[in-house]
Amino acid sequence: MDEAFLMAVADKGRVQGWAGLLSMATFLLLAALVRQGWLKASYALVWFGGWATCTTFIVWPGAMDRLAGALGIGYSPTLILFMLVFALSLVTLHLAVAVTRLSRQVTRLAQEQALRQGKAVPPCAD
Amino acid sequence: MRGLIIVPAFNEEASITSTLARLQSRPAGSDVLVVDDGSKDATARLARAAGARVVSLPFNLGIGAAVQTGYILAAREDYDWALQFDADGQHPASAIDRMVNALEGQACVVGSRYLVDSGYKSSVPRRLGSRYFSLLLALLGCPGVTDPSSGFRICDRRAIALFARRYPLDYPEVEAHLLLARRRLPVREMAVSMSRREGGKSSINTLDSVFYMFKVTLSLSLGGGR
Repeated sequence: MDEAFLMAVADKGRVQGWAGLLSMATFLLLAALVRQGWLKASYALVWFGGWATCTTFIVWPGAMDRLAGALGIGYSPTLILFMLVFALSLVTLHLAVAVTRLSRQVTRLAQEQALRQGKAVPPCAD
Repeated sequence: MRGLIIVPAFNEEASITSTLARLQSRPAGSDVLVVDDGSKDATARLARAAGARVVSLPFNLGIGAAVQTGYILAAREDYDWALQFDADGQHPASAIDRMVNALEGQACVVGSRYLVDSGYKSSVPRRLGSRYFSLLLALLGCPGVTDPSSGFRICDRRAIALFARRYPLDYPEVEAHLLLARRRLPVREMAVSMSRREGGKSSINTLDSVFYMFKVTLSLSLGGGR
């Protein structure tokens, strides 16, 4: 067999190897964050989704070319960039929604606190 | 009829005392509540010294949240009506009696500077902004509003309950019109003449105006009032 071909196969295996290790480490990190309560399970869904997508491409490298072909993208690395931008936009939108909800909750909390404190302080005679 | 006069105040030490003094002539059976919106100056202290009940928000939440705090209190303490009254001295205390009488059969009565020519001088951009929002409200099914940004308004129990539950937090006046209209709560305007502010700073400066127009337009168009 051609030596260059064997080298290419070996390189591909190495890439898959370290990418697989990285993927496993990422999964363990996400799982640990959720378990420790530093990342809410509902917020972790987006991250686990991203992890699952990356892992699929690591386990099945041909999937990227096939998907790019199906979408009419001639140069498959462009698909990675597109997916990355899309995923980051989703994460940002998700964070904006979470911040909006938190902001509303903080407002209500501040109002309740002020009303309770206002009740505790007797009004001056009018 | 028990009424609550809600005075939202943010850094209004220059005018709060005179504003509260003017409210001494308010209708019998009504109370004054100053909602101190996280002021850094002596607003809360001066309001207490003037004999008003004061609720102090722990930090600045904005006009919408401050006013809503008043409505929450009005709903919980079972007031028959609640009236918003600016702390900067622009709103005429002498019109409160007329506002209370005009509330008969209405969910909300809004004091309008433009219903009749009262001689109120506002800047051209402000007036154009008012016209724009009147038109936008009319297009969205809330016609006949001449002063959409007026904060001088009185609400009955229905509107109090609604606003205690839900009130727009940023630049709320225009959107509140739609909120009432969407629930088919009757609203009318009443001509009042207002003065220029005595002190403090407007919650909307020139730079904010563009953001204000954009935000309110977006909010109204994308289902504000739902």
